[in-house]
Amino acid sequence: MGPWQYLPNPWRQALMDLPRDRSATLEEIRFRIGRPVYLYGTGWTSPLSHAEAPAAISAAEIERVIEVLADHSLYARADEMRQGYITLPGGHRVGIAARAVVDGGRVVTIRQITGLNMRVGRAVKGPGEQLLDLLAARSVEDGSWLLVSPPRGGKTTLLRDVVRILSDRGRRVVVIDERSEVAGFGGAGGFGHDLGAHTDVLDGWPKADGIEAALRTLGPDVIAVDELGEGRDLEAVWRARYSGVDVLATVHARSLEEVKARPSYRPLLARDGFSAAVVLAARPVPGTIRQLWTSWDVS
Amino acid sequence: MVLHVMASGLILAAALGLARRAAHPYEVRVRTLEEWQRFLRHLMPLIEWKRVALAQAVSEAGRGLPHLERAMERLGEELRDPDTELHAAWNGLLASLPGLWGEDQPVLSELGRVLGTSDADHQHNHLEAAVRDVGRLVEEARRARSRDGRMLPALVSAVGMMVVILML
Repeated sequence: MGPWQYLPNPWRQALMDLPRDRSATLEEIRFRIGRPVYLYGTGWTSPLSHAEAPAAISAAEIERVIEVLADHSLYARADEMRQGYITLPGGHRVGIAARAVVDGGRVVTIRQITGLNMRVGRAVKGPGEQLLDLLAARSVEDGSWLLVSPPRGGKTTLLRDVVRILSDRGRRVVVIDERSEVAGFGGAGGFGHDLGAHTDVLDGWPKADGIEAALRTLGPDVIAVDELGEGRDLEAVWRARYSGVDVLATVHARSLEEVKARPSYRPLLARDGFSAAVVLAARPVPGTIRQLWTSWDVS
Repeated sequence: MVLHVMASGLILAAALGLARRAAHPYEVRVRTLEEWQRFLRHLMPLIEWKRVALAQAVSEAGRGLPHLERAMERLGEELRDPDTELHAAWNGLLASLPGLWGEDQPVLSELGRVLGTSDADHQHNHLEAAVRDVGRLVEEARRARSRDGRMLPALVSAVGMMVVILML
């Protein structure tokens, strides 16, 4: 189900009336105060034009949209909103552009929302098989892998597919899904994406805490985590590696060199924290494998 | 004589019926407001601690409250529709409840305006203020019941008795 199902009218109807080729390749819907709603697809950009929809969106309308997306329950989404997003069932993420209210150097809340970026989450089956074949050809069939790409490069989609395949091959996988994007948690309705028969999901857990909990209680063969940060996240990855658990992770960067330039990541690649790193590109299509590095390359 | 006794009986029954009818709005108001008090106390932990989505929270908090249960279930269902405007739906619910008086509506309507629009700390403050205000309304309603709600029926009954005495 597309994320537009959660929007109020007239936006929902306007997006449902899009031609099929547009809705199938739609990647982002952007709401900005005083501007037309813009659609960003694979290889195309267009303002949303519909008889019922106003030419530009007002501040009050953006407030209404965010209230509806949060099920009139902003108190239940405050932690997510503090980090600048909310996630919808199905793993669709809505980024929020707003003014931060900072107390003691920490963002305590946000106000005056000026823009929303609704990213369409899709499960694509197939690219994971390709990656696993490539890695097998390089004799890296098991181990810890790092998926590297800039935003919209297809990291999460590829991670989801690899998790599904490994899980269906019988490996016990635990997904630490801090932002509910990988599994597409939909509340009591379960998960929005197929992650295989042997996968458990720790939804909403901060990455480091989730890795610890998974190691202590869920006995995983593989831990999958999206958008690794620094500090505690990486310490938790090391603990998993020392416990004999493989880690499948994604990180934001344009190239492997950019990852290696970060002091905290260098040891992870140099000392077999990860046995392979895959650099993805957004073009010609998200998820295009641009570079494949394995620990064999340096040994 | 028999006719007189029968007429007196009828007049007495009518007077008692009228008396009960006069007391009814006072009684229902007290009961409805007491239910709102209980509803708010049930709602607070669902919002502040469990952070349950509002549609589910209002339905759960309304369970077991005879005057509110069905109305809250209906509101919960309406909130699942993305085109529902919360404050309008809330005011619609208030208008559909028979027990509330004019002075009760603004207090509860104000709660509907702010419900769900802020983080848990602010929701706590709003809910606490609503519990306080509804508590005050309950006290007022009880006072009105013991003052007017009992005097009116007594008056109507006394008039009925007087008519009977005069007739006999």
